[in-house]
Amino acid sequence: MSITEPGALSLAETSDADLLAAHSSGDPDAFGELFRRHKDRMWAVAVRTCGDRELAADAVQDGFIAAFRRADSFRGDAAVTTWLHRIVVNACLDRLRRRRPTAPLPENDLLDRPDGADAHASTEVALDVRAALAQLPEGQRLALVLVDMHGLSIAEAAEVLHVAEGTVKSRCARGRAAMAELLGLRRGRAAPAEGRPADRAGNRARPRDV
Amino acid sequence: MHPNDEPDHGAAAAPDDERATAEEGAVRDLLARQPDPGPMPVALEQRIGAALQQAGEVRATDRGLLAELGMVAVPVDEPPGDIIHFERVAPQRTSSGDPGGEPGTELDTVTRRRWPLLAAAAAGIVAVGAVGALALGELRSGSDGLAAIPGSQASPGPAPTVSVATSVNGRLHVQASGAAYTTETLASGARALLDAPGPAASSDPSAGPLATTDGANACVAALGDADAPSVTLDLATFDGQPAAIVVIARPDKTTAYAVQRDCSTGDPKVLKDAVPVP
Repeated sequence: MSITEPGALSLAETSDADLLAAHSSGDPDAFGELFRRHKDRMWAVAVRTCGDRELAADAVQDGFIAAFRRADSFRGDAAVTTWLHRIVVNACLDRLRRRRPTAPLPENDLLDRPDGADAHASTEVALDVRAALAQLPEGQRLALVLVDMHGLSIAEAAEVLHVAEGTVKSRCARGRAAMAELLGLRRGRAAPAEGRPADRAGNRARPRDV
Repeated sequence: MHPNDEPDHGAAAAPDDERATAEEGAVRDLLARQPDPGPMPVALEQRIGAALQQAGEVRATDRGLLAELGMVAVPVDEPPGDIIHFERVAPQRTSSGDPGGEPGTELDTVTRRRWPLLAAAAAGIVAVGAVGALALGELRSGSDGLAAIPGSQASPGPAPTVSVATSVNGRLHVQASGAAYTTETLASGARALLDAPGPAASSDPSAGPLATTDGANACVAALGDADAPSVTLDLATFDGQPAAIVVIARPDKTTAYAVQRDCSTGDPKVLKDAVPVP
């Protein structure tokens, strides 16, 4: 959709809520403006939620189509961006659940990288973080993606995920703790009890199956 | 402390909760500094734009037809997931004079369940009237591909539910849901596809031969059903690989196939053969 008709400027100045209302009333250009405003952010949410750009592409398309069709259901009790986040996250989860299970992440994403590797440090860290995020339970991963990576407030994240704020807080806390473990950020810990996974003194802790 | 243990400089002195807070903060910082995935790729933006435009055209057409019936679409509150309700706002009568409902009936609701497999491409609207089935969309195959042509048709008697884009006089419906079918879900997925077909795919040879009318027809012929009265084809995946799901409906039976995207004349490239559709 492209806006070339007179009045395009007025659409650009219209609030998200008013654009959605206009779309529900039949305005043919209003949703296109919403799409243009939020496509990059929703794309980023989808990529980080799905962990796979191809899947994210399908999911974000699903999300925008669903938003287009369900615009009438928006009641205005949350921000339009929150509503869009929820639809896109749900679309991502739909796609993830429908996808045939893939092979587990290769262990060497997190383990046994030799000290002093030549790989670019920031790329390595990014890969580690992505791999660690992928190993978290879905609820914790979503909470961290929304709150820590996208800057949503606890209240907004709770709205998106349709859970209580306390649930988001606890998922964030547990998720961060799990990430710290997976990324080997824990220092100065006492030697693990016998039978527990080895700490960073020798090898990185093997990620738990979650 | 064991003689061989290194002294825990400082950390042992910090309470566990302070250490946990510090770790949490470190993780938050790390996550916040993760590189942005970048803007939406242009190709994806165009693809979604085209899909939204198509959805807009369907919406405009369907709203006009519903208005003629005196009906409105009333989406259920979130999370609706998979249900759309439609309400009749005025009683309708058949051409024969039979009432469309009880005189003075306030609402005549229809519940239509959207199948999860087609969540992305579910039909937008279903209309039910006591006057009979109403087709709100009709696809006809043309020499240069597919085009959606709005149309309507009423028949007397009890009204089965039909969905938008179900072909009445047309024969072939092609869509590109991208849904992930499997050996286990092919039959149920095919049923869902027939019950709630998505928007027709734009004829696009660059998307492969099956995205064109001629290509789709050639594949159906290769499957031995050139004279099938009704064919629904979904460009999707099957057991993890790109595929097309071909559902052939005859009066006495409906059959689904999974074929490779280069299914063509004389070479159906079958991945899964002739599965009965309930």
